[in-house]
Amino acid sequence: MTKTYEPDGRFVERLEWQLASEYRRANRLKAAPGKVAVPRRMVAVTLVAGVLLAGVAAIKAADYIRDSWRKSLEIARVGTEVQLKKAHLESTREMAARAETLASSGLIREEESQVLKLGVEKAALDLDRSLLNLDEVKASGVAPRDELYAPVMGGRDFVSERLKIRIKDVERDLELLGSRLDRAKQLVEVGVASGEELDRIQAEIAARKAMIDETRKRIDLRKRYVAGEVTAQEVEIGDRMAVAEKNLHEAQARVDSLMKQLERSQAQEAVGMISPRETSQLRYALDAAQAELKLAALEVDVLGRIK
Amino acid sequence: MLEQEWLNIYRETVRPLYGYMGKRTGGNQALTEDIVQESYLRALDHWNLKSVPDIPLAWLKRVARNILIDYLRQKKWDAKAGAEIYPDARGEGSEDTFESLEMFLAVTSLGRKKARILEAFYYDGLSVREIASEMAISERAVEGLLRRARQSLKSLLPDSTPNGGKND
Repeated sequence: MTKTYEPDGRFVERLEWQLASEYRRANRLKAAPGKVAVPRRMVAVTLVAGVLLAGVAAIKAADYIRDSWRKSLEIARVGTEVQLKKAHLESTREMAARAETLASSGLIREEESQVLKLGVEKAALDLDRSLLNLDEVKASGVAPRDELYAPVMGGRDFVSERLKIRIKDVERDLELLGSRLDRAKQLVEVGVASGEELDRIQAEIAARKAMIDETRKRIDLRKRYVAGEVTAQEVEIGDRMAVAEKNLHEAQARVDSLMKQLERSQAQEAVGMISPRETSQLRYALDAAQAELKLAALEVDVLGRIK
Repeated sequence: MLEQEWLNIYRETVRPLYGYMGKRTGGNQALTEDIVQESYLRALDHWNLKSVPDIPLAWLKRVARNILIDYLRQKKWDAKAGAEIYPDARGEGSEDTFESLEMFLAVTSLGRKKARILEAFYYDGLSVREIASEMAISERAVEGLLRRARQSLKSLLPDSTPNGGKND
């Protein structure tokens, strides 16, 4: 073993160069400590996909948080409304009960007690409407929608239910107006009140009836939409037509009432019972009502053509 | 491991490693170079994943030795199948018994302790005293082990007469 085993200089130099190259190549591909080395293309694709997915997830999360936040807010709002309506109903009931006692003892008129009873019914309808809104918010997560083309939520047609409540509400108004009309007629018959009050009440009754007609049309339209018989566009036009017809009836009733009032006013002015100024005011009011009537008629005409 | 650190290790170890392997390959330059190169490539892979060992040269020697043994065993199987045995082994050092690849393979096939003491004495040129110190045994024990190892080797290679190495 006397030989010396020395490597060739060129071998040492070449191997050093090769090992340096291998070192650089290995470290270019080397993954972070504790991770598996993967091709750059795969890393790039994964990164892009990751960024996209993260973006989508962030948007979804933001939407979810926003929707969740909005829903909580809406439920809180409508829930508060329900509490207020409950309190209002209780208060109205107490007042109605006291009024009934007073009426039975002759301390107040029966009509006053009747008004309060109707007030209780209207307050109960108000509460029903709020409870309906609360159910809808819980089902949909958004504020209640009154459009006739709003979707059915959780199998419930909240739009129709609200419209039916509206009819009941207006019917209570009609009951009250009916009582007031009877009372006004009695007063007119005995000469205590003028016919103006009668005309005004009758105009209000006509307006309420027009409102009921319009609401029934809307319910019917809604039913057809839910059944798939009409499109959302047709529903929208039909809905506008119902409102326009109601406005037309109301405008017509107002014009009729004002014309009667003006006739009476002119007669009274002729005998010097009222000043010409009061008659002029009524004339201006009639002109305005007639203008509104024309506009309402024009709207019905235009919608009828679109239909 | 930084590139500079890697190259420094290489520069410090390449000559002793080459010498260590050259003695075991019987001075076969091509085989020695191949094994040295392969040892460094394995070191790069391993050390990059883990860490540099405390004594890099010892690690390199162990790996190089294993590579050589694997190579020789494979060649032996090939020889049994009819191929030419150790075509590169008939180089400049083939005259020396302990400088033949066949002898090295025979040494490594002895028990671990005998192989170690024979390699230390014949290949690495350590004295009995140095071996005794390294193995933490007495010099007499080293001599006994060497004697028994030679006898074992002789039974494996009846035509060879192991000699050489340093004597105190």
